[in-house]
Amino acid sequence: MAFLFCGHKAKQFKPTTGYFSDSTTAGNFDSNYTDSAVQVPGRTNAGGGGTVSFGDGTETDIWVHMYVKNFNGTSNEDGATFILYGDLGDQIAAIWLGPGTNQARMVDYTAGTNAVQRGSTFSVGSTLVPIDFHVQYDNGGSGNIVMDFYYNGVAMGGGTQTNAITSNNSTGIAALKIGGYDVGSWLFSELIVANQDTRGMRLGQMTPDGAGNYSAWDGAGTDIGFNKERVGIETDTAADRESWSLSAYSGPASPTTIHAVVNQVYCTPGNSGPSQIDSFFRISSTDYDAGAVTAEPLKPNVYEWTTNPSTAAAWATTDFGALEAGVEAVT
Amino acid sequence: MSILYCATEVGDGFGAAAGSTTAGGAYYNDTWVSQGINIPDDRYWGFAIPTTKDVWLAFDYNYYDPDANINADGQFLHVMTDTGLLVMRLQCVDGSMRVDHYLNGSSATSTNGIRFYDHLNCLCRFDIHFEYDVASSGTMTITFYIDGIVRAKLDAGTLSTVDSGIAGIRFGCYDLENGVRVSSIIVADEDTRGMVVTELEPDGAGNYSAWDGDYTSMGEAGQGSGIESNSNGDRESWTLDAFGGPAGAVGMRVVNQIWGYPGGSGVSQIDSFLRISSTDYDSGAQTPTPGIPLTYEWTTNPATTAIWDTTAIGLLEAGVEAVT
Repeated sequence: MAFLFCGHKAKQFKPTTGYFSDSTTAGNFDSNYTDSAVQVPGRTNAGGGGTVSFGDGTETDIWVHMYVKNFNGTSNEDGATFILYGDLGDQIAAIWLGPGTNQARMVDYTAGTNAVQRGSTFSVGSTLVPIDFHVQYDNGGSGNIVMDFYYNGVAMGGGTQTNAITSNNSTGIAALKIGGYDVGSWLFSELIVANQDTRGMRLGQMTPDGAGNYSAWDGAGTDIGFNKERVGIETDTAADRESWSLSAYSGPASPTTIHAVVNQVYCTPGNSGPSQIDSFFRISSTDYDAGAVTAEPLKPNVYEWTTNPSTAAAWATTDFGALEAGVEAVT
Repeated sequence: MSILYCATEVGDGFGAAAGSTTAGGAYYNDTWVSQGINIPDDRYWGFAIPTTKDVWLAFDYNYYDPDANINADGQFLHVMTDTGLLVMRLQCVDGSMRVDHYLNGSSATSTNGIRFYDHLNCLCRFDIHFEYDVASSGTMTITFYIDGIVRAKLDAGTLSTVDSGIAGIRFGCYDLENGVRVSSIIVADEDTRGMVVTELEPDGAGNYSAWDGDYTSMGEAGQGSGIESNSNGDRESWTLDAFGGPAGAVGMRVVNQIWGYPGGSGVSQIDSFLRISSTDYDSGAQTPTPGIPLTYEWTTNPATTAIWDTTAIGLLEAGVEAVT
């Protein structure tokens, strides 16, 4: 059970500029948890989208969670708002708007190419609500694509939709694309992709805001942004560590449960030198390493601590003030 | 593992196209490059690369018609072998993008196997990995990444004629009504995902001036002007304009890309060097082939063996040496 991707900002989704943007307009997001929403532009008779890959290509049971605003479209919009892809690029499942105003529907791609609506068309609105899309692809060797969609916590479209895979080439679910052909302008925030039930989850964030204990990499933690394009920090020496302090936790002081704290890092390996990257939290002068992974360009590496590693107890928001986050280069 | 070719401007290739600065950020990535390469309807623009079997092609693309609902069904990318056999073609079909691949070099083996029904009219990053004659098996595999995610993997099958590798890339705008725009092109024999390119152009005289002509004479591919020498050991160098990428850029390599044309006699090779703090760092001589770029690559700063930073790049002088 793991978190595979967390999304806050436009530049996490589009390597190139000029498509998604960050909206700080009040009401477009829940300011109790985050400071902006990602604005998806409307596309009429034209495509586009922001993408992210996740996992190792073998995930067969995925939940996509986000808060959405203006998720209702108009009468002439009937394309995919977001879509899940397999490891070889075949389409697997999506949520489409339409065919009418304030309507949406689940679709799957049992043959990898053509979209087929499953279940009934359901009503959606413009207000800020959470949505959760649960997709299982050949999970446990079932041979089926199984979908459930929850709008504001309520199952829609007639409930679980199960249909046999015919010629889809995928091994598992590996990527998410948001925005596309023939959809209206809408916004999302608090995006979570996980291989566990995301219903009811919320997403806060802490970003690098100062120097930490380690500074062996070139550049500082505050140079790290959301842009995936070769701006950040670097090293060619194994065991080099860099760490940074974090901004204040953006969520409420006493959330019901803190499922996990994750450090999400984009890393592009060079053509020589260290090829892996580890992440650690530094708490009270002790480093707690997560475990090195081999980085793949443009794919987020998500390091997860379900409990406070210094106490082995459940996280509390009061723990966050003592956190320092960092990365280590590993051969 | 090396960079085989980079293009940031229309002069980096051959054919009918124009550099355009319209709508930077939307039509090209203006964080790194200064123009898009705008190919008008029914025209081609392309370049040759050193023949390579395992090659990645990366580029930004914008199909900039404001409404893709048009009668456009033409080709915008051809990939060819060293003998000119077609390997793959991408074309647009009324708002979708289609992959055709070729096992016999002339007749498409698949014409409708893969379609991308989106990503038109929006700046998109393509990384295409060609594995031609995989492990001398005579088979070919092509993998497409759009904006960093796999969108198709084509296990294309067995080639009826196996050439030495992929050698020619041509962007086209055949029946695409209002033209296409490509930019930020990188070809490498390694994974290009996440790579970006920016350019530093000659902007002043350097320490050496033994060749005829100077930095102001050097054009780009196929422009017919440049510098020349017929004396072994002659060096020419020039200063470079400011780094064109963002502050804080990391993971950098420096490539000096040159088009060289050997004469009928005399020196036959070109070396390239970086001059840093009065010391020359030679790359290694290469024999030029007309029309094919020579790329000399430094993965680290040769003066310090440390990774590059923008300050070090700001101190560079680049040059060439004639070698027998």
